[in-house]
Amino acid sequence: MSLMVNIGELTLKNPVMPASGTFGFGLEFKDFFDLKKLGALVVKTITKNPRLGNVPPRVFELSSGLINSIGLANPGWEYFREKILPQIKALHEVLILNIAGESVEEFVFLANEAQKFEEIKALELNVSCPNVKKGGMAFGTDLEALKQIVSAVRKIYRKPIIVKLTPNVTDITIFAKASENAGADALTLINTFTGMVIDVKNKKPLLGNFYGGVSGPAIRPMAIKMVYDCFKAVSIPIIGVGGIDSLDAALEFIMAGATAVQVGSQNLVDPGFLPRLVEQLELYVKDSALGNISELTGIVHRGGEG
Amino acid sequence: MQDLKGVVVDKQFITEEIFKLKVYLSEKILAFIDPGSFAMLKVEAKGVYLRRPFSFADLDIKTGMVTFYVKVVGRGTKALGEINPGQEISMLLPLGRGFTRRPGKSLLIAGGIGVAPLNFLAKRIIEDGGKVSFLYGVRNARQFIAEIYSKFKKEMEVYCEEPGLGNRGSVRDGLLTKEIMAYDQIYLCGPMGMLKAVKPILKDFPGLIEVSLESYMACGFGACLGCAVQLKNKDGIIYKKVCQDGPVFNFKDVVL
Ligand SMILES: Cc1cc2nc3c(=O)[nH]c(=O)nc-3n(C[C@H](O)[C@H](O)[C@H](O)COP(=O)(O)OP(=O)(O)OC[C@H]3O[C@@H](n4cnc5c(N)ncnc54)[C@H](O)[C@@H]3O)c2cc1C
Ligand SMILES: Cc1cc2nc3c(=O)[nH]c(=O)nc-3n(C[C@H](O)[C@H](O)[C@H](O)COP(=O)(O)O)c2cc1C
Ligand code: FES
Repeated sequence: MSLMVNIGELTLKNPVMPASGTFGFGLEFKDFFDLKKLGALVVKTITKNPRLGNVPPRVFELSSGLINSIGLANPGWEYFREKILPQIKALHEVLILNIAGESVEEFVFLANEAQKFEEIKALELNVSCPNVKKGGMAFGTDLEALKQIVSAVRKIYRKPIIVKLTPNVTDITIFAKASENAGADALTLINTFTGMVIDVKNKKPLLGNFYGGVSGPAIRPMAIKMVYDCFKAVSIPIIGVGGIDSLDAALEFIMAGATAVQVGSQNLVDPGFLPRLVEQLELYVKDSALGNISELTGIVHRGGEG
Repeated sequence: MQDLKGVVVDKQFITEEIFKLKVYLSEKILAFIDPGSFAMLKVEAKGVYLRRPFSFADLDIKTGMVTFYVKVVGRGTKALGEINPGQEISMLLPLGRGFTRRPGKSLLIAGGIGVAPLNFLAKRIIEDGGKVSFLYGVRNARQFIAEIYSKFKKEMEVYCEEPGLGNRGSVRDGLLTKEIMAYDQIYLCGPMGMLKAVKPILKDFPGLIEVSLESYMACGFGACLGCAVQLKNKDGIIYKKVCQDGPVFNFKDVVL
């Protein structure tokens, strides 16, 4: 019995990892548990230049999740390389760097830089952030731009490339297929749904940036469907994300077609959730006499069992 | 920083809208709790997704008891007000950076529920051998925590905007009666309106002025960047995380 899974050439000891932006740089969680228990470490999106992020308020609670407009606030590549990377490389042997750019050149620049660091094992391309004006989601909703970014990064980057897609499109499978054709090794599905909340008392938008990205259990059914649809459309592995807050929620993604899963919002309300999910998956695999967790990947497409 | 379970020992509404919550925690981590630091409490209620931040208002290391004063403002605080003694509560703590304590004479300025962390600070300053003067402003009697007043009667002046309690007026009026240059440092916690109102009066104060700020928080421990506030430094406007870089900041750096 094993939880081991493959994402492109990467072998992960289990299919559980944090979703970018909900786990800081990992350092914030090291008091809570040993990060090595996870399949991989995925850090907050890094851009070429530092970004201050959006005007507060940046978060607001929903009854089954939250809406955020952080705006890719991050200290920029140089600071990350100098100050953060040396601290986090010991946290996990599989570090996945999530990057975003305002242009194809910026993605290529970051990929080139990342390549120089042995400890960075894969890239996750964030072409899907709904909270930035330039670049951001625009790349993930423009098929031509998406193809250009993925193929330009593919040309120079030799390790696995994971493309993180936005759900804010009419048919996500088109974007999934385009990413695969342009050379992606895997897909992360999905980033947040665009949304808005209004302060009725003051008659104005609640978030400083007006719009935000909706995450948490509220978006899970939509995310599951997208994983299900993309599983049929592509043959590269899918990392499922969106509202995972329990073992069953993670299994839903796997059964719909995910090879691995990411946990986002739940980390913020329960920082010890990830290692517990790994333990629960272990028990589950043992109890159900599976050889490997990946036997469950996409099982609903095969009519399930029993 | 840990995710701990505490047992609620006492919950009491001490005014119509404020209750006191006493929680027992056996852990050694109590020794790391300073005035100004806070905990994220998990509220088990329908429709409440995020944890909620509350400042430590008191701590007794010997008995393992921590105290919060909570003002009911919305669904999370309402649900928390329904918790009963004996129930367990999950809390992340200790979070944030607290007040910098220095010797000498300190002036504490509290507005409304902002008195909670300053209650703890005043206690520690006095234990350290320092002196405090405490200004406590409330809008009405529903906001007034009498048991804090009775502890600091000698040091405290109360200002109330409605008649019937203490001096009539706001904390600003109270501050205008003080010879502020006689103090070595000043600490503030209260609503934005209060901070804006007192800012001009404190403009030329040469010593340390610290303020405990609030912001809407998702995680409380630095992972989401949701709690950002604008501060200014020599480079212009910068963002800081209230949960990790604060909640206590240098008052002179805060953009109001
Ligand atoms: C570091 C820190 C320490 C705090 N200490 C205390 C304390 O000791 N005692 C106390 O009573 N309160 C304290 N607060 C405020 C307290 O966290 C909020 O009142 C509480 O989270 C509101 O929850 P709710 O579910 O009742 O409100 P909601 O139903 O979520 O919202 C109701 C109203 O409360 C406002 N609100 C929501 N969250 C916050 C927040 N984080 N800060 C300010 N306003 C908010 C909303 O904008 C809204 O207008 C503190 C806040 C911070 C950031
Ligand atoms: C506060 C917050 C910040 C986020 N920041 C990023 C980010 O920097 N980069 C990114 O690719 N996704 C970001 N996301 C999206 C998450 O990685 C994830 O795709 C999304 O939240 C859905 O998962 P969840 O429902 O489990 O939270 C962020 C989400 C949240 C809630
Ligand atoms: S509340 Fe998440 S970083 Fe401060």
